[in-house]
Amino acid sequence: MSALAVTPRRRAGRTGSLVAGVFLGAVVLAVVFAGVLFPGGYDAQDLTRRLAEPTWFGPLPLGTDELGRDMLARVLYGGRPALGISAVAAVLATVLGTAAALGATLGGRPWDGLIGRVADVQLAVPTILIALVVLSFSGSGTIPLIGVLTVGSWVLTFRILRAQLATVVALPYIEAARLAGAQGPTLLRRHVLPAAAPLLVVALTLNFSTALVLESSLGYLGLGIAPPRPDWGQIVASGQAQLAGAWWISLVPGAFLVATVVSIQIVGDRIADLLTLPGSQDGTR
Amino acid sequence: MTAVLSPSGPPGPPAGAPPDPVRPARPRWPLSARYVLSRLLNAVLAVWAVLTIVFFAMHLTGNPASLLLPIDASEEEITRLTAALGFADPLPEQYLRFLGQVLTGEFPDSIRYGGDPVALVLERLPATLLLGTWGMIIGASLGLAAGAVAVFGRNRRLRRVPVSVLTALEAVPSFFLGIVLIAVFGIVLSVLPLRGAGTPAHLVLPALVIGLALAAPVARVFRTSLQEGTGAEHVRLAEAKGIGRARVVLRHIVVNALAPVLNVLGVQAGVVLGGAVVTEAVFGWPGVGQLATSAIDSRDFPVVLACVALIAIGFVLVNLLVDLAAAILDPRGGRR
Repeated sequence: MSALAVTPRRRAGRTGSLVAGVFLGAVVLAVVFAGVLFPGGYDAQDLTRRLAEPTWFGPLPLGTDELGRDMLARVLYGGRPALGISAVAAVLATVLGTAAALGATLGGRPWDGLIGRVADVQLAVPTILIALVVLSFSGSGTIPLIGVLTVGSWVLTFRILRAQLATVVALPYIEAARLAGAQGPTLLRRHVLPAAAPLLVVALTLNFSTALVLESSLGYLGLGIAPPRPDWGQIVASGQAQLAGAWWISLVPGAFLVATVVSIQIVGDRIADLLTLPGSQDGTR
Repeated sequence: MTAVLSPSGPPGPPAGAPPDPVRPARPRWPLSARYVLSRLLNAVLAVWAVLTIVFFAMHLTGNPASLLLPIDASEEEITRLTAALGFADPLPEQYLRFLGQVLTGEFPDSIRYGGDPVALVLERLPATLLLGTWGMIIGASLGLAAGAVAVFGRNRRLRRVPVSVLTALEAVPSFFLGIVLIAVFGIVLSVLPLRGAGTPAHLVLPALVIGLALAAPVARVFRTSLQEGTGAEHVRLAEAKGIGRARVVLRHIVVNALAPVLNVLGVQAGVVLGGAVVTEAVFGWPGVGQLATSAIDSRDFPVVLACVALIAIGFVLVNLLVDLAAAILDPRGGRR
């Protein structure tokens, strides 16, 4: 429960969540179709236009870096590893956390104790430490990154879902279903999982935003996707040295990252509200 | 209950009545030995579990020998270096050796610097402790202030805005928050140094970054537990007895609300340590986190392991202290 208590809820009215949803959709589309928008790729250098300031609505809207590369192209291509890796990790973490919660709920006491213990220990290890060790031994690549992010975020899903399932399983309709002869997978699929579905959506968005923050932090530290492929955290790091002269190289991609993280959280909260979570803190819409 | 209220309550029982049997004769040591021992055992187990996870995480994910050698190294060279580093031994043997290294503090020599990794880490430790302590102080003060204002604030806006601002800042990854602060205070206003260490001015921004990450959860938990406190029966009773408002708030609401806050601080110690790794990189702060990051860059795995082992032990220690302090503040937990 303590995991829930420290989890922020971002309330943004109907308009706010609409804006967040539209922004998120636009970012995802632009990142997916970066190849169509910028067929020249993220590495097209043009030394005649080095360190051009952002024009926002003109050509080169986000300016260029010290090699004259279009920052908008770099931001969009950089969103591919950032969003892709985080999304895969979020899905994996949600699946893993759900499986663990189901195992703990339905598997009886020994499993419950064992899985709970593992989750406690996992929570006791700062994710960034696991990331440091794993990435120092395996080198940084897509697969180790996904693994680290998944391991770092499944516990929250497990905790939230475990608490929810415990109350669901005790409800009379489950007892009724059992008496009517439902058992095993049927009981799970028809009666238990639907009650947890809204929570799963929330867990998925939460995992997505935490994974994205962690992925870009690792990228900032130089442990993420290796250059020349751009990645949001890595772009921010590369611009830090020129903060005084060319602030946009660092600050604009970073603002992009923050806006994306916040949008994911707002959209997740809105979905939770629309599904009227039984476990939501204030019950009202 | 009587014992708690009686000091400020009406004068003792009327003459002739038997003395109140509930009131303890003298103040007791707030922690039972059993509780302290069980917490200690838990801490040792946690360190062991962390080290085991670290060990298997690294052995499942790869062989540093292939990273240490140039890309065009032959199979033979890789095999030779793997054996020389001890990575060819059976896994249980390596595991025991690793635990032994942690227990004795004798890790293999640093590949880059050549010396004892533990000495390297200890040399960097004071800087990290300084940063972490100030981060915790800033985070706890900001969070407590925001949480208190959220409950006792004069008007609606005052009650809502501080916590919302902290929660909004929480969404900003700490490396980017650091860069924005550098841009504002270091470059635009140029009142604080951009990076490095040495003077108190160097400490302000990195400690603020860590503190801000910590403040939001502290504020939320403090607000919740204060709200629970204001409606509690013992508080209504204290008010009914005519105890002054300030005394009721401090003695009966705030003190009780501090225990959950301490727990959050313990849970968030990981955030502080993890944040320290990132924050040290942003500000070029010469601490353990930077040592770990640069050791990874140079594939200096003995140093990485020493850093991780030390950070993990520190994290578990902080949690142990927090558990004990929370038990003193809220004795109900200590008797369980």
